[in-house]
Amino acid sequence: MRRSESATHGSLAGSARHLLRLGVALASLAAAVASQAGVASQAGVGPAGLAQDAGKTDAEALWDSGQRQAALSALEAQLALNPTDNALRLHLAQRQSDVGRWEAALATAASLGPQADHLRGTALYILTRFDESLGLLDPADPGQCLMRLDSLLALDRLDEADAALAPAAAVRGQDDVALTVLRGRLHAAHGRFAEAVPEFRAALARDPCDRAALFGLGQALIRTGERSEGLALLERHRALLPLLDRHDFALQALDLDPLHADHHAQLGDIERELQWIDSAEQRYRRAEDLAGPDELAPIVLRHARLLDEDRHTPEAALALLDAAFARVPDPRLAVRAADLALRSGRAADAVQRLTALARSRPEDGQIQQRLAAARAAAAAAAPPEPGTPPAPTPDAVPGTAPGTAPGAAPGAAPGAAAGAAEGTTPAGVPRGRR
Amino acid sequence: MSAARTCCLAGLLAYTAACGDAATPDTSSPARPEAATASRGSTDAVALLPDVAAEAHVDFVHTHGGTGAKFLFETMGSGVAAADFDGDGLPDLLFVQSGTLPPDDFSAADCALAGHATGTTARLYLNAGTAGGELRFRDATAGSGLDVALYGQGVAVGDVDGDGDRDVYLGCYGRSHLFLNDGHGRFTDTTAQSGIVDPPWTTGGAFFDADGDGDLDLYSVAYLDMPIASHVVCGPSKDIRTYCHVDLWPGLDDHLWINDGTGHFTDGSAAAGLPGTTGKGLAVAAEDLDDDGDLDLFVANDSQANLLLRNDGSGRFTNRARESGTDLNGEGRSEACMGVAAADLDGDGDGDIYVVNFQQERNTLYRNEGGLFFTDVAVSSGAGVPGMQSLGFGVAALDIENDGDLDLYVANGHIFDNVEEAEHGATWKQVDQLYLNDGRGHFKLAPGSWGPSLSEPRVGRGLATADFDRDGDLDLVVSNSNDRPWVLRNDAATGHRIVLRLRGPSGRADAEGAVVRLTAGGRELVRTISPGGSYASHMDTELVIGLGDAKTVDRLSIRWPGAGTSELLSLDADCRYDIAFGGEIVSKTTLPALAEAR
Repeated sequence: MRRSESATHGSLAGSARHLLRLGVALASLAAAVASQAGVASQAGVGPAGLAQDAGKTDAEALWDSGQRQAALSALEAQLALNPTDNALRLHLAQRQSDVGRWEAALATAASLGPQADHLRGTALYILTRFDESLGLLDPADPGQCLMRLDSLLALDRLDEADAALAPAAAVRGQDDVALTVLRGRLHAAHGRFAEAVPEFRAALARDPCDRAALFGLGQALIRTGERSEGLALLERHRALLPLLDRHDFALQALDLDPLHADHHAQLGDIERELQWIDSAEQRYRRAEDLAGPDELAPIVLRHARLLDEDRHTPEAALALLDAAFARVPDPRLAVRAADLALRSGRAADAVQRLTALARSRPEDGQIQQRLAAARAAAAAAAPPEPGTPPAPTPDAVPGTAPGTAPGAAPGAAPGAAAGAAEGTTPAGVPRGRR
Repeated sequence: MSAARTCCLAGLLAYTAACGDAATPDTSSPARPEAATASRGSTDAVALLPDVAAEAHVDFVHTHGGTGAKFLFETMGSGVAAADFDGDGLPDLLFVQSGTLPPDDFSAADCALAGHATGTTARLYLNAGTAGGELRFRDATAGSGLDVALYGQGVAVGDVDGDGDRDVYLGCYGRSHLFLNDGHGRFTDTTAQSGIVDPPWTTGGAFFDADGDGDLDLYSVAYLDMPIASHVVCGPSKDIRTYCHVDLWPGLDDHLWINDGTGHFTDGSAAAGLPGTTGKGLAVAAEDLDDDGDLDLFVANDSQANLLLRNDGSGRFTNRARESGTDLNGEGRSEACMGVAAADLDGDGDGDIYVVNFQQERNTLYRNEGGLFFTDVAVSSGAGVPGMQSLGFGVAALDIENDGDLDLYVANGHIFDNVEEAEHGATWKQVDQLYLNDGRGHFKLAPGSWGPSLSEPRVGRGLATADFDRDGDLDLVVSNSNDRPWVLRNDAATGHRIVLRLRGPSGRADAEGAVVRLTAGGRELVRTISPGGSYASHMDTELVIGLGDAKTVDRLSIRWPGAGTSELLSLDADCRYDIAFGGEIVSKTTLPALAEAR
């Protein structure tokens, strides 16, 4: 709900433009590389043969399998062969818009008639060609009625914006968050800041992360003399902004490659920072479903952290880690499981897990340190009865069955287990600017 | 205008329209000036802003010195200053040069890593006047004292020692420099004695009297903490390498250097309340934004919130960007701000702010609502959306037609020299844009036929204005990265005008911060001698004020910085006035009729 609201409220153009700025170079570069190298190699052909082969490919199958760039290439190739196929042309334009290629979508749809007006209106709006978009935006469409209002506001055509409010409310409902924010912005544009304040407050009551409402309320409060509260809200807006921007960017990456596990996990990370815990957990679960063996552990580690720190369900986190270890015996999972067990008061369990791990990774100092700490905790929790033998050394602990006290993955680098326990993805090569 | 030339112009306009400019060119105004020839005496090209660099003997070529390793500083280009350096009354040109990592500042390993060793220096061109009707400059770099090895980015100009000539500050990647002028265009590097120790990447600055003591202080704008050794390779593959995002490096603190009146400075940043203003600054403009008689500052930051530093008159500053609505754009987003112009763009008497941004971002016009509140009117003003198609750096607010309102010229060029590989439809070289004002703060793009800079793409960076040919309109110079500059003679101005040279206090060359209010033809116009602005560049301080049809200035009031207001009545238009600090007219020179000058 929150996502859909955020995506359709009055600052949609801003979000889209921001995505353009943030993502266009990266996405285009990635797409170029994918189309020239990755896709070609998947298809077993070189770049020269790509277009021809792509034309033969089932574009929709490619699209559904997440190969969005390849699907677009295939559609473009088909259209080149059938340039008068208007249904195909419209379909390509829609697919281009689906991945934020609005300029390309406009160009593709240029020769089409009114059937492309809806797409054209949205594209022109997102490209901030508001004057041109207004005649094409459908006031009865739930998304486009907001775009119309936002365009009229941007163009300072305030009387027309006033008149468009009621019809938009009929379409979206009077209490719609996005529409409420637009009402607030319209009041502010008229200079009626006191009237803008309750609108923004109402929107924030329903969506505390609505950036337009936060920004608008902060400004309106300052204009009405409530400087300290206004500045505090603007401060909160500033703090949220990078996260929300990253969220937009991650969604765009997902649009381009919806089956890439790390895209889902990245979204999970951001949504966890935003405290959208339910949504974040869903993202992690989806990422785990899609992850290959090399990708799984870092995702599970983050998911486990959510379960432990946000849900306060360490047992669930332990179960997740153990299940993942059964699937991929990555030492980071075992280390995190031991840490969790120790922190949950299950020192003996932690000792058992770490002992098993230490047997296969005797050179890992961090594991040894953890093991010593776990032993100390175990000893403190349950002082040995007189005559009880001391806690077993690593050598004395027999191997443990998988799933109960996982051992280290063979061949893992020394120190990798404990050192990577935080579970973030390795630092990648910096990407292209914007 | 001959019938043949009229026909030719009409054809060009029609061609431009047919080619579909990004924004609708304004060709409808009946007051639009006629075209002139690019070179007087020649009829082979028609332009209102012809490039006269070659004829004027300006043979500077900027070089960034890059070898393909993609050090970010290479793509930031450099600025240009327009000012009278040799005291002959004619504005000269100083091009900042990049290209060379000075061995005094960088280790041999650094230089080897960056591969820079071109031995280039800044270039000083002295204005030789317009003998024979042609503007001429003379390369006076050799022996000027400015011919030192440095990796230059920005320039600020001001009479820091109060001896009546204009001194030069060069902001650099590496150590920045201060040069004192002997009055004849010969300079001495006094950096070591000046007290100025700027961060290792300074993109420019502005000289202005921050504390009201009558001398010029310096606000220097710092960018990124990016040592050579911190260089990383960016790009999605080993085959496509790009310049990296600025987010990879921390920003540096801007500085306020307080002058003791002799060109010796102390770091007044802390006392001025500036700590915490660490940003990724690329430009600063000084303007009295709250109309309280002192100069405030607007700092354009790259990908971070901007700063609006309100001066309390004693040199203490408070960042009011957030509550004024200027830290972000009207949608609440930070932008990659590259250049700034601060001036009264809507003719209501207060200073507005125009910021040019990265491609796919609108340029932002913050309209001053009074009370230090601003509203982003980028879309409704028409000055924002065309910026989506380009990446702006240098920007100037100038009355190109002398019709009494301020137009906007933007120098454009992408930072990726391989952006064509990366972004559909984007180009590294871009055409500049000229936004024509309708007098109420609504803008339309001038067509490409106005001049080569608006139709031939280059990689624009620094931009400055001055009346180089002394005909009573503002000409432009654009420093293009890794390319020749544009020297654009203004043949577009047709209106009457008044030109004011305002002298500073105690023999100081200029009255930075002076605010002129004049009434002519029933209109009141407000202009400020605003230091800084644009990108990495310095505009000549002479005020060229277009009057449209008015042949007389009914009333001219000048609010002198720290010294009250003087008033003059019934001044002839089409004259240049040299006015001493306090308001006495020192000299008056009749300007040529514009048609006659061409």
